[in-house]
Amino acid sequence: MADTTTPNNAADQKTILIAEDDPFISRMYQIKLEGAGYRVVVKNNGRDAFEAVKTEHPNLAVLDINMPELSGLEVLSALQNDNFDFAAMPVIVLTNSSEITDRNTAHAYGAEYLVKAELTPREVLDIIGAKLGTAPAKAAD
Amino acid sequence: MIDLPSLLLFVASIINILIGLSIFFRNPRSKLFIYYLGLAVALAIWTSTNGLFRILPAESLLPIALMSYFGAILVGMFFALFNAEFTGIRLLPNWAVLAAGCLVAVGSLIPGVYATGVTASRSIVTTDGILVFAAVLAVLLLGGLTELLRYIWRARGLARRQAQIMALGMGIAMAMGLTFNLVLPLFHIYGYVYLGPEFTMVYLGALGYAIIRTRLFDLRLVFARSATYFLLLLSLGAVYSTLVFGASKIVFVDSASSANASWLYTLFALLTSFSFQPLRRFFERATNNVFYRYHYDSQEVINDFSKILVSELDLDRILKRSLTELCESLHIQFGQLIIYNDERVYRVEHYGQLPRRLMVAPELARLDKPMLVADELSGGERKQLMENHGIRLSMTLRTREQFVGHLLLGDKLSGDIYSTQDIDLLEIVGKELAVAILNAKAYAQIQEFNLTLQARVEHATNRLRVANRHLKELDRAKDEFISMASHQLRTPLTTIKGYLSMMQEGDAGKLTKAQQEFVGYAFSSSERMVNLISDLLNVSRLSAGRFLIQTKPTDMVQMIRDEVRQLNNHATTKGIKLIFEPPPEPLPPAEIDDNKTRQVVMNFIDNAIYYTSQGEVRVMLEQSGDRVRLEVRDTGIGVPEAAKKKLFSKFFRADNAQIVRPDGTGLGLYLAKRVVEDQGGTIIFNSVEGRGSTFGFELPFKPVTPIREVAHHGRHHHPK
Repeated sequence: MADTTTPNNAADQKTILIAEDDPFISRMYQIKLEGAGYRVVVKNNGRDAFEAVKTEHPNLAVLDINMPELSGLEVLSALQNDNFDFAAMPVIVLTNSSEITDRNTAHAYGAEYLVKAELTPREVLDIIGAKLGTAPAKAAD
Repeated sequence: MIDLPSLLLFVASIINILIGLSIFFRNPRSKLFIYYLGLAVALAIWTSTNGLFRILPAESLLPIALMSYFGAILVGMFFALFNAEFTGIRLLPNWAVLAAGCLVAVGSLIPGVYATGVTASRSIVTTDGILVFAAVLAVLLLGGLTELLRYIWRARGLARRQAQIMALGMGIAMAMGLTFNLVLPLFHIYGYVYLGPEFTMVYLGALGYAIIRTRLFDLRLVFARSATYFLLLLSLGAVYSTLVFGASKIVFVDSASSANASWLYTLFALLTSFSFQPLRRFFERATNNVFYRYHYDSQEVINDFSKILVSELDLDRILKRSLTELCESLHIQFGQLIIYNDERVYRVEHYGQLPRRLMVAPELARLDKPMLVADELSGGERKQLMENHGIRLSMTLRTREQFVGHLLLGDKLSGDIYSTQDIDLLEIVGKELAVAILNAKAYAQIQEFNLTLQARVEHATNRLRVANRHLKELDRAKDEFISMASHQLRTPLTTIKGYLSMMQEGDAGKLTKAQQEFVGYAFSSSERMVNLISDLLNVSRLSAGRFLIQTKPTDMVQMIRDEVRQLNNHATTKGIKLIFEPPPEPLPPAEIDDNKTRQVVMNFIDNAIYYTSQGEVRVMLEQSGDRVRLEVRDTGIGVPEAAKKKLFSKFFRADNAQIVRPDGTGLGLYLAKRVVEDQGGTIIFNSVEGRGSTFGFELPFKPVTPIREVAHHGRHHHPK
């Protein structure tokens, strides 16, 4: 779905960064989020995702943990080293690893920790909407 | 005219000949026995000429006197030869003894060499030649005597006893000869000269006895008692005569008043008689100390022995103590106990200084008699064997049914032969010892068996330990595998579930009713699979100790509403009513682990729908004091009585549940119990088979104990 189909105008269009190495999954979220009117930037490795945070200034980042180059958690660590202002960009760690240590690390950066398999894209969309304080998109229903 | 003394001398001479012959014919080819016979004949000649000297007229006495010299020198010669042969010690060479003896003997037959005539008063008129005669005779006698004494000093066992008896016979003969032929004539008493030669019979008898008998009587008693009385008489006589002599010198110097004398003598006699007993006892003790240094009391030894056997149970200690007791009581230099088990040597115990060579099993096998005394064996293999190993006595230890072992004893410290007392004692003690050893052996074998058993148990335990460790490693590997596999499974499942949900939501265009239905089924199944994987992960986390409760304020009503809504689809397709009864008043938020509790709720409701074919599933939530109470009631198959106890254990599945739902994991309830209890809650469960079940929980709104601690202490922490 192209940006042009979204009802929101370009000025309030929010950008979501999705860092996910599995193309099926990233596409799935991309469709759902774009369907809801978000601009979606997909990166399939941690390093690119880290760069994208700086260049694209996303409103929210969805990070997988297990990725090439840098893991999602390493991206967070690298951002913190750059004195990144996490308050300006909510982060959702969306992963299928449910290790307690990973969860605690994510929480330490103030990030939401979610298990992919337990959520539908719709539910992820709802959570993102809640984080950004935007009303849930009407497009799907 | 034959008088009594001469008759006695002739009789003695004949008896000497008879003794000589009867001993000689026992072994006529032996040199020793030939010398013995020679000695007997020489003594017979000497005694008979003594007899003739008394009765023949004085003028015909010269040949008799010469015959007497002849006999005497032959006695000396055969005495030397016999002793040299018997002892094996040759102080004087045989040829010298023979040459000197024969030369002097021939000389004695020629008149005028030693004696020229006999006076009317029956005195022999001697020449200077008699000095040569006397010197040769003295050398022969002293030589033989020295050999014998040196032999006694050295010899052990039977040989020593033989020599002792010979010495005794000779001692008596010499003492009597000296008394009657030398001491009494000194006091001018000539009347008993004829008695001296009589004692040659004693000597000859003792000699014969010593060389033909094997078990010789113990001389000590004879020696000890004669010494006691000899010393007693000597001292009494000395004291008495001194007193009498002294008294008569002092008291009766001037007047010889016999009346005075008689009371004095009476006083001395009384003194003497009173001093007799204490003196006797004193001498007895003194002589006993000399002769009975190695004496023991059999009964005492047997008693001590029995005490040892009764007080000890350990085989090694029994062997050690009994052997020591035996050897010390009997004064034995060396002793050995060899105990057998199944025809093999089992234990060996030694006492004292070991002989140079010890017996080996095949040699021991030859000592197969109940009792063997080396000195009593006339020769042969066994005697040789025993002597080579310094063994004087061998005894076989056996009970009535069973051979136990050997007791081997070496020389006695005194060098004496084993006496009848020793042997009787050994026979008694041996039987007791055999029984005691057998008992101790049985005891030792039980103990050894115990030890082997213990060792085996230990070995088995170690193997179990290793196996257990191995199993634990395997279990860990399994958990890791489950964890890894589950994570891997989740990725494709995310995609399946995600796209199915998007289809349902119309993201791929509007679906037909049938498409909507089918996609719904596929989606539910993917949901179930997600939950199964969560269960598996939780179980592996439990095993790995990484199962942690993380609480946050949770709206329970909302949570259950969500779950009911999600599962309603499933209930509707089964034709079951799923009813949620929320509490009448709004609930405060509960401090619980949202994710895990949600899974528990879902599990209860999902199960209820699954195991109910008709009727309803009722979910009830209410406040109960400071707790929130959830119940899920169904009208399903219920839980069989037998399965109730194990229902909440890992991987357990009731039989009827397996039929309805073959793909269940048996993890849901196990995890539910853990999740609830780790949050300080309690599980609610009751059921009637065929009628329905109620599952649920009560959870505190606020954690009773800090959650971290609950998690650390694990499942056994159930605060109430």
